[in-house]
Amino acid sequence: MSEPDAEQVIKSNCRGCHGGCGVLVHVRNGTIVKIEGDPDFPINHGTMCSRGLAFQQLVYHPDRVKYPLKRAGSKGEGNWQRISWDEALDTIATRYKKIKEDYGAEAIVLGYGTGRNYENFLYRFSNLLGTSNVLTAGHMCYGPRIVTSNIICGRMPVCDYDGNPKCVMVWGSNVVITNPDEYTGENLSRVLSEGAKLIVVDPRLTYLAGRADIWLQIRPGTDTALALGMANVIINEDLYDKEFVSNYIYGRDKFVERVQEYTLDRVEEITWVPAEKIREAARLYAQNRPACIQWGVAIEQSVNCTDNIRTLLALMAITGNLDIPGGNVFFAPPPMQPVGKFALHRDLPQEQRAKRLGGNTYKLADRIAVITPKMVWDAILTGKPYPVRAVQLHGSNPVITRANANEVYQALSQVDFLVVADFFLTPTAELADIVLPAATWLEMEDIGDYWKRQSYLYPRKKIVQIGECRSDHEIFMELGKRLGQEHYWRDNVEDDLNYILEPSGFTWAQFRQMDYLKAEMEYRKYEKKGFSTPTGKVELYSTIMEQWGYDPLPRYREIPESPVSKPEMVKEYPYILITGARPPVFYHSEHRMIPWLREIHPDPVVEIHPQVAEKHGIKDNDRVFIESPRGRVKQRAKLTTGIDPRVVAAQHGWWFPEVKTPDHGWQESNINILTNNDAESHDVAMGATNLRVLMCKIYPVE
Amino acid sequence: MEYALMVKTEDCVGCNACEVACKQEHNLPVGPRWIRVYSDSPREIEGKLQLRYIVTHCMHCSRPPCKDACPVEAITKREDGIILLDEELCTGCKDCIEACPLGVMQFDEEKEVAQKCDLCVDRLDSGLPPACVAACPSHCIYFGDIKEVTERIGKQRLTVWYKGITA
Repeated sequence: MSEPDAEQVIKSNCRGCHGGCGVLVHVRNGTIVKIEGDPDFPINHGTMCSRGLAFQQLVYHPDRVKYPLKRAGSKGEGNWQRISWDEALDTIATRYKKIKEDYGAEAIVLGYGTGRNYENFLYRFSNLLGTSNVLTAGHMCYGPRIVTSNIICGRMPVCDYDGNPKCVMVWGSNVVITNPDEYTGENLSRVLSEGAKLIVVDPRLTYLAGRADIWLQIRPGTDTALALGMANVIINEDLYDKEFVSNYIYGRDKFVERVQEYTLDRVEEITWVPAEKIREAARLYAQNRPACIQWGVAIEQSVNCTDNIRTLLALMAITGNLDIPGGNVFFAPPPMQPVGKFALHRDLPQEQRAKRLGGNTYKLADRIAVITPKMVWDAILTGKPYPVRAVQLHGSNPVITRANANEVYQALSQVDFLVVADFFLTPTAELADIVLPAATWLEMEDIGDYWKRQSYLYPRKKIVQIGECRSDHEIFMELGKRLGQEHYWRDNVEDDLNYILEPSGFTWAQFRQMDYLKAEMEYRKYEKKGFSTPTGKVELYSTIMEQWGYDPLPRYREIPESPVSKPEMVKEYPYILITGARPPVFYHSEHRMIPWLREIHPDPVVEIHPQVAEKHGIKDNDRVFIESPRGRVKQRAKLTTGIDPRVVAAQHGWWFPEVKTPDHGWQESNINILTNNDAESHDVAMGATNLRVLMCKIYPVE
Repeated sequence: MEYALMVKTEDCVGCNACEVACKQEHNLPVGPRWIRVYSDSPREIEGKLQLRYIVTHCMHCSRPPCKDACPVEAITKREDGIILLDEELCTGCKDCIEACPLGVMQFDEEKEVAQKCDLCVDRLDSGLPPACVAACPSHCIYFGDIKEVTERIGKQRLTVWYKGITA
């Protein structure tokens, strides 16, 4: 036995954002006193980001939802009554049974935001419930890269920093501060310090753009054209990998034909990037093998989502950078239960699958079982194509994070029954009928992050219990057992962890004592097995897209609201607005209530060029209105020459937890009040929402 | 040997991890920021527009003006160069804050005492680097013997970076 007040150090793995960072959690008298990076962990090498380092302030925050709550007044009024877990789960189960009987299971929509590793528990629950409507960010965040890669080259290729790329092309990502998905930015910083070349595609001057050998300051939203222009150079200057192209590419001639339509003069006109710079970047990327593309979410939140991804995949393929050390590689997880098997996708009856909202319109999204939010709001507000009667959201704040926030707010205020599981009473949770207190990664036993396309599995350990908070995993299990799914769920979450680990040969009890499991990396797997596509090759001409009735080849579509497509709007809304520039201390709509983080970044910030500021009488740090045809919000102006005078860049995710009324100031600075979600602002195959590029005006708050 | 902590400015990505690591290590409230990251305006460097961050923190001066300014000798310099402030002795007069040319002395409004970076002496005593150094994802904070750090980091005209900064 250790001394009662001695400090214990427990190894775990952060899941403050996308996870992956090994941590040492210091505990004294049962309380977490410090969280720091684990120097021995191979993903982050002891380093941490500000959000992970501040996580104890989230765990012990006085505003945490600690008990199940039920609405005690009218919707959104802010009156709550504490109830027991049994009452909460029984109430939800009773409502769902009734809705299922009256309207069918499809009238219940399940959803998550980032998804903190409980995605497959949610799908297991929704599939067994019989609803195919799962509302996530997956239509416009990470999901498109996964599923587009699946149909083009079988699997999603990821930058292989451990293989030491000689050149990295960062495209629509601020990876060094955001640490997205598979990697932390530390890896990129390391290869740059070792001399790797850097190309950055970004409309804003980021740290990386400034450091780059070549910065392509693109007109927002024109990425497909730029990538096709680079392909044009690589093909016409004979810089492609001839052996790979002749053996492993399907649709070469048709692709080349399409690429020839994108001459550098034309691409310069579309993208604002000088032809010579495009040529220089294409050469740098193609001539420094191995090279990898570090792509980010910016390419997905666009009407060109699928084609942005397809063209970047094409660049990786024609330069022979797929699945080679230091290129873009296909990681495989260590032996474990396949995620689809755990999620029981096959148990969803075909007739229910066919009812997926937008499933026939957005066939690419349908393939990974996600829907686009607009379909849900329409179904709630109009009853078409059928009514949605209940929504259950886990760790998701769509009032702040989805396009056309006023419509989102209206729909979530009107839906008959809303359940929200979260850490705090967000503006979305305030509209709920039942709020469930969710546990953080420090309050649960879990295997991280087994659905991600990386080669690691690592244990997370329950270190503290806050109030009556429960893991989302457990919530789905307990709810499932009340809805006739008891034969499918095991006794407790630990039994499920054992099941997931079965193929590895370890039990959860053994695994939780280990630091991590890593799969052996095998490169050039295509030499033995080809690519997992219908033709066995990388399909630059997509047979699946063709079969679905979409253009089998990538092409640039003009942004639906731009000075090019809507010149008549320029007089009233003269600027291109881009949204979603990331401050390092927040994750989407989270963390505004964390004192250490908010101190660093107190206000929402919109970047404008000094020329624009002068024209409208705006001084640095002034509060300004940003306005689009959908509405206006206030942010604080930051003058910078790092942005084109035709573009302004606003932040997303803002609400104000310190505002104690139940609206929490959601209309004050929420940029999604300005974004559009009409039919033409969606990617045709994926249903990705064009969150990033629209038109606006800007003026001082008098 | 004398300790030094210096930031290689061109490698700093502006992620603020050092700030939060410091807050956590010393359990600091909102207010005092022993290390702080400022975003500089874009400027031409080596022929291209670049964005740099300026990290301010106590430089543990060889002849510390804060120490000379303190009327109650609450600020002392250890043999290894670390300048420490004894909060028990501090009267909150703020003379050290006035005296510091870098503007990095901090003040805790609740405790009404001055505060400063202590180079994580407790961690050093257990053989660990300062918290900011350990957390930094771009490995741009250099720590160790002053001669060695200066060699590793190369020549930087630090005064230029501090110009125009108000802490």
